Amino acid sequence: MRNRRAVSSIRQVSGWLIVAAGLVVYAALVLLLGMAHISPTFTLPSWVAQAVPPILYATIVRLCFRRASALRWTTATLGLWGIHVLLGALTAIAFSSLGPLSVDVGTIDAFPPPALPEIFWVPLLLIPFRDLVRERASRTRRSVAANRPSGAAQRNAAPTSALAAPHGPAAPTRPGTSAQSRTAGIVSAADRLRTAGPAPRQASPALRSSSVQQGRAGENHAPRENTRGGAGFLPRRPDETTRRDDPEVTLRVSFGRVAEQLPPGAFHVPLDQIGASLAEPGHLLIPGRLVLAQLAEGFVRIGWEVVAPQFPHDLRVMTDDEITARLADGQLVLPLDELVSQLPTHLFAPSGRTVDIAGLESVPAPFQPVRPEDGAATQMKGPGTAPAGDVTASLASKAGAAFDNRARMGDRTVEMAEREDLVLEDVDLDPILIGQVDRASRLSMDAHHRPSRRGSFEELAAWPRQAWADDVSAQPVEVVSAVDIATMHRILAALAPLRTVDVRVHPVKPVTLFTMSPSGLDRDAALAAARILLPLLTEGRAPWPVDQLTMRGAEAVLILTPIGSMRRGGSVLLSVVQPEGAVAAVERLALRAAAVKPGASSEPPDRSAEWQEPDFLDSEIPPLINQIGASIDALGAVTVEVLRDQEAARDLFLFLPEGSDVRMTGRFATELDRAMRSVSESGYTFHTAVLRSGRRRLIIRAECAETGRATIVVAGGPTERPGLACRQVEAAARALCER
Amino acid sequence: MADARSLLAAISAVTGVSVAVVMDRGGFVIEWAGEGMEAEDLAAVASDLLESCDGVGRDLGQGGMRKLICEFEEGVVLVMGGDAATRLAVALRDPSALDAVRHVAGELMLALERL
Repeated sequence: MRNRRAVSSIRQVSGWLIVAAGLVVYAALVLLLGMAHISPTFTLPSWVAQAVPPILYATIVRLCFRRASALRWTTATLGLWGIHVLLGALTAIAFSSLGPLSVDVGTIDAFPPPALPEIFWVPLLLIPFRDLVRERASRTRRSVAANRPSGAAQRNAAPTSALAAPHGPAAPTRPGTSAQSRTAGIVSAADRLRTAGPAPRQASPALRSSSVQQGRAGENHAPRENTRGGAGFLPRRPDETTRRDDPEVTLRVSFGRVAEQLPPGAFHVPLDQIGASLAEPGHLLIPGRLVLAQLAEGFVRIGWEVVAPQFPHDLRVMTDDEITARLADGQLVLPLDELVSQLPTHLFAPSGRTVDIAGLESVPAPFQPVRPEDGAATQMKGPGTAPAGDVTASLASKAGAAFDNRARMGDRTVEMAEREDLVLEDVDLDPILIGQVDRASRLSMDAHHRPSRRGSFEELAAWPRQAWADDVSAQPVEVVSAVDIATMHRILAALAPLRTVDVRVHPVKPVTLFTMSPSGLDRDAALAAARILLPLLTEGRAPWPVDQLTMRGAEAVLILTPIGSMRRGGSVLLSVVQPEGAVAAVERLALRAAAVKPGASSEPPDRSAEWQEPDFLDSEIPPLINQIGASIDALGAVTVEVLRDQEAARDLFLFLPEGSDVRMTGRFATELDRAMRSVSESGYTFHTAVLRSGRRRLIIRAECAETGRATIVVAGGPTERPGLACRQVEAAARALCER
Repeated sequence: MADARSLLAAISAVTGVSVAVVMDRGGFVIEWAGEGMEAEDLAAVASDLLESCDGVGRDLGQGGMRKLICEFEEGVVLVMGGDAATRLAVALRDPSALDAVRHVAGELMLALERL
């Protein structure tokens, strides 16, 4: 069944038959008036009588074509008046040659012609010429309406009618018009989109192209604005694209390509059985207008309600609302390749004017313009396959699309547009921090590979401070919003079973502090604690070179591992571990990350520095203390010393290898105790500090008895059983407090 | 009933056992016996393994980790006492010694709980 096609009123025979009939009646009337010797002129002043025809014609034109522009109104009126004058002259000439007839033609003036009876015939000319007088928009609507398939035609057509012709059974078409009828549906849908509701700024390339094609195939009725060049994209208007009263074309999509998006458990039976029970087995039928409206955006989505009727109700478990709620954004993403393959290729041809590129062929490839005829192929090619020129065009097209999308669809579309143009960058964590390379290797990497500062986390700048300093002045620092950071923390907390770590870098003069902490711990409190504890790592403060300092508390364990000399502005790796976590493993990995050879710190103690040494008093060693000292056998043979800190009113019990600097160790222990007290005010409370120096451990435990008397137990020495040593020191501290 | 230290020595004496180490929850060595491997490394890594698998087990709704047997190309590592304050890790060169080790290790874990 073929569609009715638009025919101009000029070509309609019926109009001309009416005109011819009117002309016969006019001639007969002139003869009758002449034979009756009746003057056809008005009994009015001649100038008034001559003004009557144009006024009458102007009135008729206005009444018949209310929406005609002033120009068309005037043109039509003058045209009719001109014909009126011409007809009068021809009539006078014709009847003057009829001398033998007994007709009185003397009353017929050649010029100016009489008003009667021309005014009865001349307006009939508006019938065949009405399309020229009407506004183009209204003619376009009528033309589009004529192009729509009739209701019967749509009912009789297969679901894959015009647009699905390459894949489905072809609808019966008149020979020679198959191409036109195939595209008629697309043009109809496109024009409906363009004419319904508020007019969009510009039509999409595909839709604009289809309009141009129709204008060329038809009687050049296409709107002029649709032939303009330039890229533009039709806004997606769901309210326009979901009109139910329009007959429409249908595209097919393989159910298997969409099935995985359906929520699990939505149906009683497996999805393959669902596919077989669809209205068209194995395929979903998609209204073509929905596809065309979204085509320019680069992806097509439809709501569940569009395809829901195609699914058997008796196989569903969930309601439509439940299914919609479980779909991503409540919509199904359709495979673009299947949809595009069912669309005519000319839809993808650029519609702008052909640009004269003569003389530009010698421009190097990246700057060569793209020929419009290559546009369709460019759009169909995948990334990486287009030549350089096509890439340029593609990027320009994407940029235009992104710009338009920003303007019309808000942030969500901006994200999608930016996702399309997203340039993925390799964001590398510092290999040293994850224990993959040593420092020497990293130094050699600096010269060749530098991580990008463009990351979501500023802490990814895990790179030597000096190396960054070169870039800081040249590159703007991107500010991450607090909302993004909070979101990141929530994600990390959700990934806790994977033991994700939060890696950051903090410049803490004169050193750089790298922090690694699992999600869920108070990183800020850990950072505050580290700031207080950092000075204790300086060479010369501790009695032994510090490879690592571990602070144990009820809420968290902080592991500070110096990287390089603290005096020379080195760095410190701060690892935060949960108290029940694998502290030993983190210590081990932190040492590996810092590439510290245990006990290899070559910095001599800074004896010249003036440390504030407490006023220690030597105390007598009770037998109980010796017994306790003997129980700490995990640290080897130790000697017992007891110091009394007069100022702080506390006792220090030191169990150290023979020959140790007791006072220096005591001073370090008091400083550490003071630091732990300061830290407790900022968040974390620590009870034990373990200083690691090679195979030696210095364990410092502070206890405060119920009596208020503070006790510091310091035990050190080489050990292969640090766990046992800590337990023994803990037991000793309790015993000393309870004594 | 033998004490923990002698049981640990008994485990290390089993043919095919490299190192047996008793450690705390943090992975720090409390006692160890044997040779062929750093006891501190074994304790730290075994504790880390337990922590990792413990999280996985809880995520799957299977509860905390109690015992872990890891079979590697060059040997087997047995870790016991996932829910205890003191844990045991044994590195075996010969997987066929696993049954004998598990028997003694069970006794050792009971002894450690009594400490």
